[in-house]
Amino acid sequence: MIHVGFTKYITRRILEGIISLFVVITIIFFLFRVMPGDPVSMILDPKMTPEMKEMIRNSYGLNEPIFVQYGIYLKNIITLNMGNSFHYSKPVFEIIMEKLPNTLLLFTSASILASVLGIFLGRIIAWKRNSNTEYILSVVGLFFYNMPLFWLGLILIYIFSFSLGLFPIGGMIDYQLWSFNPSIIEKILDILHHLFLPLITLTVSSFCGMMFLMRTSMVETLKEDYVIAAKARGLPDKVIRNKYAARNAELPVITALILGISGSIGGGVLTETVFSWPGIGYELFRSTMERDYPLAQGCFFMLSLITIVSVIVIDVVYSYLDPRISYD
Amino acid sequence: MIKDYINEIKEIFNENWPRFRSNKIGMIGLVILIIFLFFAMFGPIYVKIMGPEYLPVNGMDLSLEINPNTNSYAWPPSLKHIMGTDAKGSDIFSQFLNGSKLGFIIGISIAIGATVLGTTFGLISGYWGGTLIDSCIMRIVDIMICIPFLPLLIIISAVSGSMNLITFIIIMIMFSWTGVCRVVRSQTLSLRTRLYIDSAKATGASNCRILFKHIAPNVIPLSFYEMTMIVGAAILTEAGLSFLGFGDPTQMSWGMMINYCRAQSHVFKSLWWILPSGLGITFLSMAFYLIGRSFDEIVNPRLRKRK
Repeated sequence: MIHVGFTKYITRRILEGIISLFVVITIIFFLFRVMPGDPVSMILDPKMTPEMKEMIRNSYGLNEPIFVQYGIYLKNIITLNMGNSFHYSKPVFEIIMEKLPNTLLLFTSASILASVLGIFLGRIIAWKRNSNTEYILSVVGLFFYNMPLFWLGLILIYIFSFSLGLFPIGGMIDYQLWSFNPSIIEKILDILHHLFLPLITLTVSSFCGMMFLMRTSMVETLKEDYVIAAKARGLPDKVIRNKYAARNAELPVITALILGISGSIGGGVLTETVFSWPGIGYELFRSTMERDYPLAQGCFFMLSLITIVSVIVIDVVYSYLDPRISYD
Repeated sequence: MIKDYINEIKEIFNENWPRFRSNKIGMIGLVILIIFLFFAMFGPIYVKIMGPEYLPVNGMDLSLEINPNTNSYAWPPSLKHIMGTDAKGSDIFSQFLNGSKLGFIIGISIAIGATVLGTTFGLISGYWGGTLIDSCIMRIVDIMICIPFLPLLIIISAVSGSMNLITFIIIMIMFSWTGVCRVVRSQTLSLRTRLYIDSAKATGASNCRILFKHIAPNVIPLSFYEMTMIVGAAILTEAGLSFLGFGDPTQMSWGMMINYCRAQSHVFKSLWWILPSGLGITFLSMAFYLIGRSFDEIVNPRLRKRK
């Protein structure tokens, strides 16, 4: 199944990803330097002594011409030296690596849940066109799809945490519980308990996109000759729907995922902020609020990297799944 | 040429209006849209009738006393303030009306800008498909798709202090055209191989004429559909950015209302403050979405419902 064109294709996609990343870091570089005022004041902690300031000034090459600065900046990024966070007084890279698993946990679980739910419901409404089921599911789905998810999050917190007291208001772990050295199962349960509301927020507000994509794709697949042939052979509806039509209808939905990634990263930032989920998005928000620019740059870099990597992964998976695609 | 487009739009309208009218989902969207349009127009009139204490941004009702339940000037809905007041005693109904005006301004200006940009690039890219200019445009689109733009907006507004509305709209236009471009390009790619294009070429029509006279009218319905999708996305993005506190502080948008409510920790104390703005965002962007969807069903025969 894998042939030469495939490897070539992957290489090209990765190269394109690297170019995108390069564009992103260039944008960050110029953003922080084109702005009026002394860029040093943005990078330096006001609490530092003049000697320390001079040292950092040199390490960023801020006394050199702008192109040299750009070179130093690129070198720093490639060697993952993104400076120190003022707030934590720790290297930015270390903080980001600490937060990355939390973001990935929320992001991947929500994407998977939303896709599964969307594909499942899309299959149903494509099969039962013009029915009340389609009508109700569409309106309910659209209602949540167009709801600002930070607002949905606040309302869910109000109902489930504040009024009913079922779930924690925010955060990822219960520090009190963790200080008593609980067993691993208790730890997992605690994280799941905290994960529930953010996960529901993200899923509810994004499954509808998948549902409609699946519906459109499925409606078109149902008109294909092989589906009609299957019907003529007298196969049960369920088999035709799940084994014949849905399999092929799922393929275009996967590519459409790519277009939504940038949006779902934005949604992730908002959700993390509402629920104080200790991920990269929340860190980005907090660091920009506190003018902790090295950390803000690092978080933005990491979020872009996540976007790019997921775009490439989906693309490659898709071209692997669909043998009809050409690799040039 | 502009006359042609107006005629084209008129024709599309005359042909499709009866179909649209029988489309339940589309009509719901249109009704919601008209209601919000009324809200948006009514905003300034309301302030004029009620006086300067009702100004959305810095008006406040000085006759209010502190509400013991919320420890601020936030009072639940009453006859004087239909939707209640916020923590500093400002009228929420007036803010809500102002928010719907801003929602229309933001959504529609971004959608039109992005659609014009995307359609132009899509036409060029598709018509000269396979050439250098096409691959340049498509690579730019690929790169743009990889940039998470809410975080980018956060960084930009953080660096530049605060972002005013015009800057926000321009940046959003720069990042929202890619979807339209892709769709228009693929449509143009298939249109340019049609016979009538060949015959236009044979009679000596210039590329420009073919592109804008023969191909563009055929992609307008698609662009229009994409446009309605962008409106909702733009309103939601503005709300998200304002919610995080990076919006234009001189404008009381719906997102800003939610931001103030949360910043003054009134979410659990005064639901009346947070509900109208969230529902406003939801219904306004949903209205555009519903209209777009039903429009898509009408112009896209493959999706048309069987009678």
